[in-house]
Amino acid sequence: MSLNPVRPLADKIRLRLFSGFLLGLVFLSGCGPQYTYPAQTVVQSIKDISLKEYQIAIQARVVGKTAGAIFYVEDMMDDQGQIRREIHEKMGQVMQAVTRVALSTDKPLDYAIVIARDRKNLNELAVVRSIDDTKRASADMIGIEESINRTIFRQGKYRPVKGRSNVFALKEITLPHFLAEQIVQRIRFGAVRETQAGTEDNIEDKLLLVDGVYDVADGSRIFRFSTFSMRSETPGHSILEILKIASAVLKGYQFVEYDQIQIHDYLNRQKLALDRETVSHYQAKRVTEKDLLERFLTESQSIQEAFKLFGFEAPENVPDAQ
Amino acid sequence: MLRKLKLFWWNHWIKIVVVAWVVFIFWIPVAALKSIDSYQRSYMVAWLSTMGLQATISAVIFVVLYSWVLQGGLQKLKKRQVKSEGVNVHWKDVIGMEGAKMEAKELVELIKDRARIKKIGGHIIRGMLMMGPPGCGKTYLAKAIATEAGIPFISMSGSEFVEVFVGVGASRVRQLFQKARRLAYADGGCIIFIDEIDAVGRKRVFSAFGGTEETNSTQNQLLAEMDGLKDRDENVIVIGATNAAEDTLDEALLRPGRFDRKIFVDRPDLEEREALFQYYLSKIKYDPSIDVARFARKAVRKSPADIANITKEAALIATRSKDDRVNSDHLAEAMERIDLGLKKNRKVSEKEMHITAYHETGHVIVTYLLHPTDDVFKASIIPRGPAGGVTYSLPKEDEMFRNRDWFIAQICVLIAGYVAEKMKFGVTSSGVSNDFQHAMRLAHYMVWSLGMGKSESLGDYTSIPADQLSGSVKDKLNAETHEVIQSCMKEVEGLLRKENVIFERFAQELIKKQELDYDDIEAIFKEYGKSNPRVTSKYVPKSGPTAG
Repeated sequence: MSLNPVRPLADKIRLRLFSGFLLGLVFLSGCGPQYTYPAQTVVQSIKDISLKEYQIAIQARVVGKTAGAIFYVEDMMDDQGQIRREIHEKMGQVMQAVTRVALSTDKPLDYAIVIARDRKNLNELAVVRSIDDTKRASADMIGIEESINRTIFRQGKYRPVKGRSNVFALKEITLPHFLAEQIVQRIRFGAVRETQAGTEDNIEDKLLLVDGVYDVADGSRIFRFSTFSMRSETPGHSILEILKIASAVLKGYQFVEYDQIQIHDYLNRQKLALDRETVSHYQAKRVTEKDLLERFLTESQSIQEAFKLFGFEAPENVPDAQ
Repeated sequence: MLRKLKLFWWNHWIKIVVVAWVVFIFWIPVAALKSIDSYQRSYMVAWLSTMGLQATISAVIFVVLYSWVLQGGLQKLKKRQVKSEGVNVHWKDVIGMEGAKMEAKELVELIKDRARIKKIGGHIIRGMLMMGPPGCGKTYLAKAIATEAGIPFISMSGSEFVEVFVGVGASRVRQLFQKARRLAYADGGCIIFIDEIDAVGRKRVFSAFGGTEETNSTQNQLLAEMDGLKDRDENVIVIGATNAAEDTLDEALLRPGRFDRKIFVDRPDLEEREALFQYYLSKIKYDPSIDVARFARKAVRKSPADIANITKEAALIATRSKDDRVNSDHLAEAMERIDLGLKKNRKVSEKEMHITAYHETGHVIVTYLLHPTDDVFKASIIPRGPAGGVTYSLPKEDEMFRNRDWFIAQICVLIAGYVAEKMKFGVTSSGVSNDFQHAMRLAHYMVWSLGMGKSESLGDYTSIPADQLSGSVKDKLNAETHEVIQSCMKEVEGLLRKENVIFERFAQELIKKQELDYDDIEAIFKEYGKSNPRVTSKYVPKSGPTAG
């Protein structure tokens, strides 16, 4: 029988204890407070992080599942009328603060919004981001370009209320509204890209205006996209391009809480209305685009109605496009 | 108290430093993780877990593959296990090694009577070492032992234990014996046959720097396993086989308790060769008129494997000749082909042919008339290999000792080609170089090592370093060597001049027929009233061809 050297019992016990201690350390590293920012400290934490780490004084709010932050600047435009670089950087830093807190809190938060306001020119910039998209991006589930495409950039004017100029009014963001806005932005960005690329014979070259909403007014849940396109021999083609983008976004978010997608091309007086099941078939490639156009492309509303939809006052004598 | 603490520090400072360092190293990630946000921490922990899982899977795959590579031999080991009934070699099949067979039979009896041996306090044989030249049937005998003992038989080659990886050899030895013990436990015994055991059984090499060769550990494991220092004393018998000399093997391997028995499986003698020819011929269709005894004599120093090969070759020749059975010509051709090589179709000039014919005639006549043991079986001027011609002679029987007459006769035969060329043509060719090499080597050996010189200077002078030999001794021995060659030359010259008629007749006959067989040669000598002084039977024997 081969003889193995016998380790003294005390040595064995000591070795086991030491190994246990080291393992314990490893396990302990995963412990600590379960959430770094408890629900009741979210607003203050966003402010603290912005101030402490980026030296940016902000206001923060949480409404429903949306966390928001706002900061004011005197003038966000440079001499050429472009938004100054440091404004973009500040917005990015504040967004970092908001998403950091949103990710590490027990408060259920789905969206982060950062707003920058220009007191001098009353301009407003906003960036909206889904927290889930942030998680996906950090886990490399989506690429950088797709991550940017999923971020909503708003710009516009704001109207200060006298005596309440520093009030931060935040509206809760919901997924369908977020998706509708994202789809519109993708269409616009696409149009800009194609225009810059100088691509001819493309629908985006002909796209004049586009807007979209998630409408539940009539009791139905409808994604409605309204466009003004140049007159075209093949108007259905531009509608299909919009459908492709909408379909891809909805599929990407696996969103099915809607009843219909409507796409209106007012100048060409064309309308495509698809119910969810048809869209689902289209996403699964069980129905062709040609079929869709043949079966679901119909005549749209008059241009006057369309002007109303876009908030313009159309003269009564403007004839409908034929 | 302070002193005790100091003492503790002196005794354990290395351990304390190491422990502190390890704790510190572990603490760094712990502290780092604790300082980051919970989401990032969860993400990091999840990522680390995933990485850990990946690393574990990679490590497992690596270990499995590495083990698979290392254990590749063990897979073969499984296949090496042979059931005794599958071997099916019985004593009656073991021919040409009667002595070894008797020893093997005894071993089998001892394996079978193990219980009885233990009862009277005896010890079972643990190992048997079979030594001897290659092809003499060591493996065959081992198979017969397995069949007759009726126990499992595991066959391995010594080289299978040798790997580039350290520890693999020892591991395989352990696995082998473990397997053997299990089989022995189940079947009452097991034979491990290790062929070419010298691969692991060579004398161990111990380095001055403490390192050892990989084969050392393999051999150490083999020694330990054979010692049987195990829980149960299973009936495991190790049979080793080697072609290496006994003194090249490690002494520890040869001591009683490991290889208790040593069997020398030598080349078969005349009777055994005859039996072997009978045995292998019985496996093919052959002409019963074949004089088996004649071929047995001709097959001096041939192993059973050689004889098996000759019969196989003869069968192939018969098949090519479209004969339905093997006859004497096929066997003779097979032997020649194996011993002398294939004939070449090289175009030989008339002049070269004549030189070769007279050269070979010199060998033939001197061998026939002077050699004490060898007879000429064939003389040929057909090129074979590098040689232009050949004189194929064999001794009547393999001899253990050779006297001065044999050496002188051998030298005479070797230089006879030179003398013949000189006598006939006045000049000699480069064909004598090989003969001269052998002749000089023999003469040198006689004088320098065997005390067979003229002055009979006793002693083996080659055992003394050359620089310790005086110039006069060297000169004297070299002069004697020269004298041996010279005297042989004179003797050969005298003989060939005396037998000039036969010399011419043989040369012309050889030029005419290209080849002369034993019977042709015998007939010519008989024609001139010369009888073979060595003939006692129909056929005669070897020493190897004398290339011309």
